[in-house]
Parts: sequence; C-alpha cells; structure tokens
Amino acid sequence: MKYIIQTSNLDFQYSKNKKILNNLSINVPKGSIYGFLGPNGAGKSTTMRLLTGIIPDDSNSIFLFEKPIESQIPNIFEKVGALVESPALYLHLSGYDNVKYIALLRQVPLSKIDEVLELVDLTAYKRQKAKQYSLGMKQRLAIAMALLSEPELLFLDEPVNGLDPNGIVEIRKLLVKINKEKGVTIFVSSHLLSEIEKMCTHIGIISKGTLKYEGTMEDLSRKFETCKIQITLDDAENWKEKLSFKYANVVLDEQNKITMNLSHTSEIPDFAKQIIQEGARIYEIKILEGLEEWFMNLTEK
Amino acid sequence: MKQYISNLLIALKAEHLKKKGTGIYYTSIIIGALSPILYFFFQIASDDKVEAGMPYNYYTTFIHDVITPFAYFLFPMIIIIHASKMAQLDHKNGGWQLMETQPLQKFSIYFSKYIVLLISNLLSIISLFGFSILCAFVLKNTIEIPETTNFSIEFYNLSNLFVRTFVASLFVTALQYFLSVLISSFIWSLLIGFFSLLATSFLTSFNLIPDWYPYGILNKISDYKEGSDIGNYLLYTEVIGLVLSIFILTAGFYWYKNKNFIRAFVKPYSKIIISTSFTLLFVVIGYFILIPKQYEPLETTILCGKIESLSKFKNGYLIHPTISDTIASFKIINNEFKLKTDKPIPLDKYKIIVDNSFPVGVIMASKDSIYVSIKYFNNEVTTKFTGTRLAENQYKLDKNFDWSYVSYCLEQNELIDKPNDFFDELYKEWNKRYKKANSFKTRDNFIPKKDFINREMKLVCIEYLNYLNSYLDKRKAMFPKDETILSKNILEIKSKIKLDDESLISNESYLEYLKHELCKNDSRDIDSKLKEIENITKLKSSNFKNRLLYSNLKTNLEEASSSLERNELISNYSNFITDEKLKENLINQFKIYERLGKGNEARTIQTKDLNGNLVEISKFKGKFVAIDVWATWCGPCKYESPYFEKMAIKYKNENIVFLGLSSDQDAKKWYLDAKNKSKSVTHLRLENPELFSSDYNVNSIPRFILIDSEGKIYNSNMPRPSDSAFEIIIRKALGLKELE
Repeated sequence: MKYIIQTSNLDFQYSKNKKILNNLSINVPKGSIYGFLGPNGAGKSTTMRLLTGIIPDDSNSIFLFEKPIESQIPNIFEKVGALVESPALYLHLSGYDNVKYIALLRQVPLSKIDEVLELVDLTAYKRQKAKQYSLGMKQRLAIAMALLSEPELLFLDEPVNGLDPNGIVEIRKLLVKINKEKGVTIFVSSHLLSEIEKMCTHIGIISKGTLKYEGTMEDLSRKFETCKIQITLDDAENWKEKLSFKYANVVLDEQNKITMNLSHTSEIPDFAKQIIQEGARIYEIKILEGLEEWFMNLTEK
Repeated sequence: MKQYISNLLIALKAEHLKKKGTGIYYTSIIIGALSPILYFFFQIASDDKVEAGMPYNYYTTFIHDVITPFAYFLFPMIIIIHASKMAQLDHKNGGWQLMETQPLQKFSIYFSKYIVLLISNLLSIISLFGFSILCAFVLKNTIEIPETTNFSIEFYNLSNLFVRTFVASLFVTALQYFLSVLISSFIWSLLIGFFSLLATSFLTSFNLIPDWYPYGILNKISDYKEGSDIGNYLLYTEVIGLVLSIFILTAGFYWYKNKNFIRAFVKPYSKIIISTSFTLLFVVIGYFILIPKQYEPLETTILCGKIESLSKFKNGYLIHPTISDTIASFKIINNEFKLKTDKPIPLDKYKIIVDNSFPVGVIMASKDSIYVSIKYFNNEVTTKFTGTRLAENQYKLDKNFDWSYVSYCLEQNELIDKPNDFFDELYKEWNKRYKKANSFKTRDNFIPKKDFINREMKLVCIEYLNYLNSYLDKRKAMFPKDETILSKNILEIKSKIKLDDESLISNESYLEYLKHELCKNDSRDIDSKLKEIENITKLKSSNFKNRLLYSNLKTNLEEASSSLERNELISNYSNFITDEKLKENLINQFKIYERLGKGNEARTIQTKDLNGNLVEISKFKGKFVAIDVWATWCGPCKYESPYFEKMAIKYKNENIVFLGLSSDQDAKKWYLDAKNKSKSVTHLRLENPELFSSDYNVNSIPRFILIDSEGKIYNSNMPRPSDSAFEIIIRKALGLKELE
C-alpha cells in the first residue's frame, strides 16, 4: 500500500522539558480522507506544521510522497495544498485578490479563480474585502485558496471550525466530491469526531502528543456494532418485561429508565418507531456507549 | 540560478498584488515630493533678494537645498515605516505560513519583500529629483535669479547624488526590514527605528556616532552633497553601508529561513565555523574601509592649481604668514599654475596671493603635493584643496563652535575666589577639546597628518593657557595678597607647551602666551610693549628669538605714531636680530614707514579718470588730497565710502580734493560703480596697482591717505572716515578750528 504521508517515530519539542509530540507514527494511504482527531492542545496543529514543513523537522522522520520532506520543499507545494493557520488571509484584499495571489504564486491560469470561488459559493462576495467576511466565509475562502491548484494532497486544519451546520454539511460534501472525482488525498484535523466521522475513510486519534488509535473507519464501526442505549419512558417495569423477550441485557435502572443493547446504532430509529407504535410514551433515548463515548474516553485519559 | 530568479520574479509579482491598497508606493512618492514643494512655496513667499555671488547651477542648487530634510528625516522615517508595514502584511493572520506552504523558495519570500522596499526607496528619490526639477522650473520664472546662474542640468552630478542616496539607504532598509521580520509586533521595529534615528542627531553632537551607524549614513548625503573630494563615486560611508547591507541581508535571510538563531548559525556545530568566518570576513572588509587614510610625503614640494574666473591672472606668490616674505613666485598661464620647490617649508598656514587681487590661505609643508581649485567671481573666492593636505585644509571648517564655560567665567568674573574649582573646570574643558582635536576625518576618510594634529593639539593647550593667564591676572588684581597654587592638572597642560616652539611662532595666541610668560616676573611699571621686547632680547640667541623679535618689532613699527618712536625701536633693538635676512627685511619695512612719514615726498600715482584720460596725482598740487583706496569687490570699502563722501561734501569749499582711488582690474565694473557715486568725490582708477601698493605699503583696503598741498605726505594711514578722528585730522591739516 502506498502511503502519501508517513511519519516514523516523530518526536518534537519546543523546549527541552516538554515534549509536544512523542513517538508519533502515522500512515496516510493515497486516496484517503484521513481524519486527524484530538482535543485542543493535543499536538494537532504542531503535527500539521511539521507535515507542511513550516516547522523544520531535524530528525528527518517525515515522508511525503515516500520521500523525506526536507529535500522537497518548496517544490512539493506544487502538488500540495494547505490550510494551516486557519484562515490565513490578507484581510485588506478582496476575496478575489486573495485567490489571485495564490494563482500568481502557483502559476495557475486566472480563469480558475472564478471556478474555485463558485465551488465554495463566494462568487457574489468576491469583490468585498476579506475583512468584511463572516468567519464561515473566511473559512470557505481559505479552502478555495487551498483547492485552487488542484493538489494531489490537501492539508486542512480544522476546516469546519466556526461554520454553521449547513456550512459544515456543504464543506463535507465538497471534500468528498473532490476526493471521489479527482482522487485528492485529504488530511483533515478536527477536535470533534462528529464533525468529520461521516466523511473520513481513515482516522487517527492523538492525545497529549501520542497516537492513541489509527485505522480505517470501517474497522472502527465494526468495533462498535452493539450499541447500549438508555430509554426514559412511562411504565418502565412493563416495558422492561416486554423488551426482554426480544433484546439482550434489558435492565430497569430507575423508576422510569431502562438500559438495553441494540446490535447497531443504526437500529435506533426503527426501534423507536416500533415501540411508539406499540404505545410507549418516550421522553428520551440516549446512547450510553458508542463511538463518541469511546473517543471521549480515549482522549481524556 | 535561472530558476531562483524566475521564482523571485513570481514572488515579486505576488508581493505587488499583496501590497495593493496599502499605499506604500504612493506615500513614497509623496514623501519625496514634500520637501521640493514646501521649498517652492517658501521661495515664492519669501522676499529675500539674492546677492550676485559665486555663479551656481540653478537645478543642482535647488536639489541640494531640498535634500537636507529628506535625507535627515523624511527618507529614513518612511523607510522605517515601510519596512514595518511590509513585514506586518504577513505577520497578521499567518501570512508567513501561507507563503511557506506555496512553491516558493524562502529566498524569494525574503528578498521579494526587500525588493519592494528598494523600489519604494527608488520612487521616493525619483520623486524628490523629479519634483525638484519641476518646482525649480516653475520657480525660475517667478523669482529673481542672478544672471550668472547656470541653467543646465548637470547630469553627472545629479545622477551621482541620486545613486549615492539610493546606496546610502540600503543598509538602514535592510536592518529595519530584518528587525521587522524578526519581531512580529510592529511597535518594536518602529520604536527601535525612530529611537535610533533620533539618537543620530543627539549623539552626533557628542561625537559618538561611528561611521557605520546605519541611521547616520544617509545624513552624510546631506552633509556632503557634492560627493567625494578625490573623485570617488561613493563616499566610504556609503561603501560601508553597501557592505553591511549585504551582511545583514544574508544574516537576516538565514535567520528567517531557519526560524531561530541557534538553528541558523550554531547547530549543527559546523555552522559555527561558517557563520564565524562569514562575520570575520565582513569585519575585515569593514576594517579596511573604515581605517582612516593618510597621504605619504613626496620627494619634492608641489603646489598647483586652477583659477576659474572671468579675469585672467598673471602672477602668483606664496607668502609666509608672519614675515610676509615671498617664499616663491610663479607664473599663472591660462589661469593655471604649478609651483615646484625644494626649499624647506615648515608646516604652517601660508598665503597664495594672486596678482595682488586676493589671498588664499593654504596649510602646507615641505614634501606636500597640493592642488587648489579656486573660483573667483563677483569678488567672492571659494577654494577646494586636494592632495596631501586634504584633511588639514578642511580641518577648521568642520569644527563646530563649542560654548566655553571657562571663557564665560572669565567674562563674568566668576570663580575668581575659587581657584581650584576654576582649574578643575579648565582642565575638564581642555581635556575634551584636546581629545576632539584628533577626531577630524574628511568625507573620504582621510585624516590630517601627525605633524598637523600635534600642532592643533598644542593650539588647544595654548588657548587654555591663555585663559589661565588672564584668570591669574584677574585674581592678582582682585586678591593681591592671596597666593595661587597651580594644580597638577594645570601643570600638565603647561608642560606640553615649550617657550621656544618655532613651529608655533606664526600663531597669535602663542605669541600672547609667550609674552605673558616672559613678562610675568618683570614688575617694572613701563610700557608693556617695551617690556615685552626687552624680555625677548634677554633670551638666548637662537633662530626662535630672531623670529619672535622680528615679528614683535614689526608690529610695533606699524603701530608706532611717530618717526622718533620708530627710530628708537630700530636703533635700540634691531641689532639683537642675528639673522641678517630678517634684519634686512625689518630695516626695509622701517624705511617704508619712514618714507611714508609726515613731510616726505609723496611718490607719484598714475591713474585714469572715468573718460579714460591719464591723470597724475601731482596735478592736484596746491591743494590737500584725501585719498580713499577702494575696489568694487571690497565690502568694508562700501561701508566707508558714504562717510568719505559726506566729508567731501562738507569740505568742498575748502582747499582740499577728495579722490576715490580704485584698484579694480575690471574697468567696466569700476565705471558702473563709480558713475553711481557722489560727484563730490573725484573717481580715478589705478594704472599700476602693484606699484602703488608697494610705494604706499598698502596691504589691505580700504586705506585712507592724506597728502598736503606741497605734495608731501601728511598722513599715510588715516583712520577710517567712520571714525571721528578722520575729520579731526582733516581740520587740523586745513588749519580749521577744532570741532566742539
């Protein structure tokens, strides 16, 4: 398998006493959307900066396109797009000029500018100065700048940070689209699993500078096939007995709360529909153990 | 290489897009235009009449006038601001990281911004020159300009000034840019920049600015607008600026590239060797640029030069400062001259006299080769010296006047009761001046030779010893009973000056000091002049004594009021001079004074009148003749002539004529001037001014002579008519009643 990004036992520290990254080995396969997850301060941004060469790596343990990164800077950026310090923009310039700036540097035909602005839905605002943009627009502009030269590899640091739900969905769609259509490998960081879980093919989880988990999204979903839920409803004792026939581990927690296992999270809607039809008066259904809980546990330790 | 350049060009193009709306280029142009435009309006508003003086180039002078505020303040200020602005564009919102994730060499990133700064510098200078020429052109038609002014555009001079200004800006731009990139907060680079800029003028007055001080290099543009004395394209300060800008750019680039100092220059340790040897290389280059230069002595003594003037000159003389002896004479051909001599010439300030028209002072000694370029227009003289005494001949010009607390104390009679305090102050001030004597450098980094500096240092000592002496005199008068003990410091100063230093004998202050020292134990109550002479004669026979006695007797002869007095001086003291030549010289002087004494035959004077007819002064025999010797170029003469005319009008009915005798070479100029003067004075122009000045011992003008009705000298050196004594003498000669 070809890894487009690879680090082998990457260590990094700003000062002697405090290690920021400890023995970090990540492997990003070509063509994947790799979600790089971790809470704030885990070392995500530092990793991003190292991977993009902004911070020089003295130990030579970073490989992009299977070659050490040091030797490829800066020409490698002809096929790499990056949105690192989000959003890195020139606020005194218009949205159009910001993209034009990148177009000049990357020697992309200026006709591409409108295309990419259309893609992130900023065409109507392209003459406005970037300082008048909302946070979401700035974010989208920065993505447009990263996408402009149709890179083979895209680094996105918290790209959906500060976007409204619609915006998040649209960015997600966009990323999936360019990944599918153009085969762009995307390395995207986030501190919220839910934000990117739906689009990633691969996941790496970092906490306090060490990699806690790395694998495909499929492996991860398989790991969480059973799903423990808690239901709050009237007449819990009766329902406990009824449900015990069909489902495993049905327990009465409190007067009106039942916990039980479903085989998968995706069963919840159907399950809910069914018991409502059967006359249950439900106040709340809550997942007790799922991907999110697992992620929280992993990173809190 | 080609790749580097194309990459740099891409970055440069992108920088230009990025700086859109920041107005960097516009402000550069405005800053450049500011001083010409302000100066333009100032000129229009001012009513000052321009005196016809030395001819000058109109455009060059205009630019020279406006470049001072530009080079001193406006230009460095805008450099500091723009350097900070260019770096801030990317310090805000992570621009540096954005650029670093583009296919751009770090080299291109760092230098594209520097190039933008250089372009903005260039625009500023172009704007200054462009607006100057434009404003000057418009101004030309609105103000009065002397007709001798040259209106061509001196391309070489101006382009040289242009290039020098640009080169001088490189270092400060590189440094400010380096600081601005290094420190992400804009306030620090601005603060450091402005503070250092203000410190320049402040520290200059304390003589604390090294030649490589980045914020001072531009000042030199304004200080030395004409550029190098010796024909270099750049001044050494500009060369050092250029070299150091390369150093700071390289260092700044590697620092930026590697993000911190240690990674850039120290680790891995092999880098230490590179960075140290690189620094060392620049230290060595800098050392060779900054080390002051001195001329080596030659085999013979050469003095040559050129006179730019409308008149043609024939003869020149090199004159000794004290004895007024002609050391050498030379022919002037096509207003150029060359004098070569093997005579021993001790270091001193000599005079070159050109056709008895004007003197030019020159500091020189044996084995010097000196070229002097003289401009003589409208009776103004400017000189420029090059050659082995380049620095010496500029030395005094550059010395800015220091306020002296010691002389203030003497004037105000302060500290007379506290000798120790006074001595401390005196020593402190002396010490400062003594050290400063050695600090002079020319714009091309030449320093005076050792002999000259030693002499200058001695002169500083003498100045302060004279202060000391006048202090001691005052103290003696005010506290006759108190004894004053000189402190150790003061004795140290005294020990530096010998009482028989021949090299200083031409110096007035030294003579003053000497006389005071010679007479201080002589308490006889006689004429102080005689006391001085007597004490000199008591010295051991030496060349020094001869010279000293000679100059003293000569002054006394000149100041003597009667033939009796002169005769006594000569008969009593002239034999103490053992140098025959000096003695002969003195006797000659004596004879001239005697010949010009009252009652001697006045030698004839040949002149021409306004119509060009020959006139002999003897023609006026039977009447008293009052003569005013003047020339159109002589300022003090112009001051005296109305007083002279007033006398002529007042006494026009008496038995006296008033003559205005001009020594002008240029008959036309004289004619125009004389025509406009009062008719009560008869105007004549000397046929042979040289003969006249030797006949009547005229060394300077204005000079007033009174000849009696029998053609005999009545007074060969009258007081000036602005002095009431002039009229008293006239009345006495005419036998009129004394004025009440």
